[in-house]
Amino acid sequence: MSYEVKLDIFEGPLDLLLYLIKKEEINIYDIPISYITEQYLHYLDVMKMLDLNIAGEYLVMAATLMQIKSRMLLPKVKDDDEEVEDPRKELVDQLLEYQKFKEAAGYLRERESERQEWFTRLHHPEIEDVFEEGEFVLTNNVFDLLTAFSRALKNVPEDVVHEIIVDNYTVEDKMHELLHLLLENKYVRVNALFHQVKSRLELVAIFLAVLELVRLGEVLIRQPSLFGEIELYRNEQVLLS
Amino acid sequence: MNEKDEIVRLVEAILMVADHPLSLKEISDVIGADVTSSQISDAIEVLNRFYEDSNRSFRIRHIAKGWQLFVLPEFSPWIRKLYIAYRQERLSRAALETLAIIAYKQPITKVEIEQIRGVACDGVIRGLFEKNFIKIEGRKEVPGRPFLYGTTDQFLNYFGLGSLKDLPKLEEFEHIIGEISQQEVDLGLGEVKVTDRENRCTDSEVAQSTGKDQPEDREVETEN
Repeated sequence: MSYEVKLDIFEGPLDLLLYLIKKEEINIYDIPISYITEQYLHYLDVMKMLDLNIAGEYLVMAATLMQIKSRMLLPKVKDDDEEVEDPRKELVDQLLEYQKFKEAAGYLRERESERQEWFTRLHHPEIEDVFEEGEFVLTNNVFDLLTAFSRALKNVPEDVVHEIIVDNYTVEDKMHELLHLLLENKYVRVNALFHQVKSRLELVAIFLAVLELVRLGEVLIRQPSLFGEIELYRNEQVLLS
Repeated sequence: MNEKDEIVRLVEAILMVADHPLSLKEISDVIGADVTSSQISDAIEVLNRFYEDSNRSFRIRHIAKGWQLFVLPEFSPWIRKLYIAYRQERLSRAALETLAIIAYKQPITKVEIEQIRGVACDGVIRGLFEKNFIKIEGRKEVPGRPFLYGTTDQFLNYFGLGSLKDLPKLEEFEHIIGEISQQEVDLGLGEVKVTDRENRCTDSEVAQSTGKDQPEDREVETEN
């Protein structure tokens, strides 16, 4: 079995080239193409050695570099009226353009951490504040629930083939567990519910239990924001009756 | 109590309970009568000056096209103790690069983003969608009619921007390149450029009006 690890050392061939240019203190407007190509290919070799997954873009760039290199070697055919374009120009323009956005990304990084020092009112006020009596409306559709489910499914550890599954998860058990949870807590987040599962079977059991409880009207679903976390509440009216 | 004071008090009351940024129009709609947006923004200015003068722990900030009360950053360590859930987030470099490109070049197609970054961006774009940082603005009328992407208010909020105008001009990032790659250029020049960029940023915030206290807030931040 082979593993392909994508290490984000470089964000792509342009990033690698910029790194080399900086490291070798090269003037970006006058890149020694043969030298930089050599360095670039060397880095690709190292990445291969480390068994890093080298994306196709890196190889395309290698080809581009070699093409520029060969064009530089060709004698320049000079027309009288037009200046012969430097074969490196297109690449340099691309690098400069990319570098600009790299800087802009750095600026966003600063703003990101600055912003996280500014706190404001919490987004999830206590349920009592939000709901008037009888105002509890089920606005969710099953798709959002399915999305949460499929996301959770992706995070479940893969079932190991040799493992003998001892635990039998039944929908009924899960329904009871959930109702108990809701007696102790005002609400339960669906993601938190899915978070602790040990197998796909358990996840499916929980999912079906949630659906069944919703169908029976024992549990109400609330999604405070669009695409936000889904929360389950116990339907007090059912309990009272 | 005169009418102006009453508006100031109303604006404060509304912003006190709001859990998301409110636009001037939203606030004036709530207050009703014939209150104009400029009266609201005057009121916000009055409030911020008052908070400043009386050394309060919060300010009204212009964020994501609206206004919202924020506790000053110097208190963040205590707030974090109160709500452990407020953990710090960091987007990946790929996500930041892609967002920067979309922010400056919107509306833009995936292919155009990939041309600038030099790598495939499908996964990153999907992630930005899930985080609600970008939205589809339409389709480009070229073969295949690809989607055009733009940034959302959530993007502005996450980076603490009032509006897209708060972003420094893209050309301002160009100077920094010259500074790095052209070794012969003396380094002092680079420093001048950086302060220039910050000044302009502050200017634009002042130009947003009302946020007269914003530059002060920045200073508090840097003191930390």
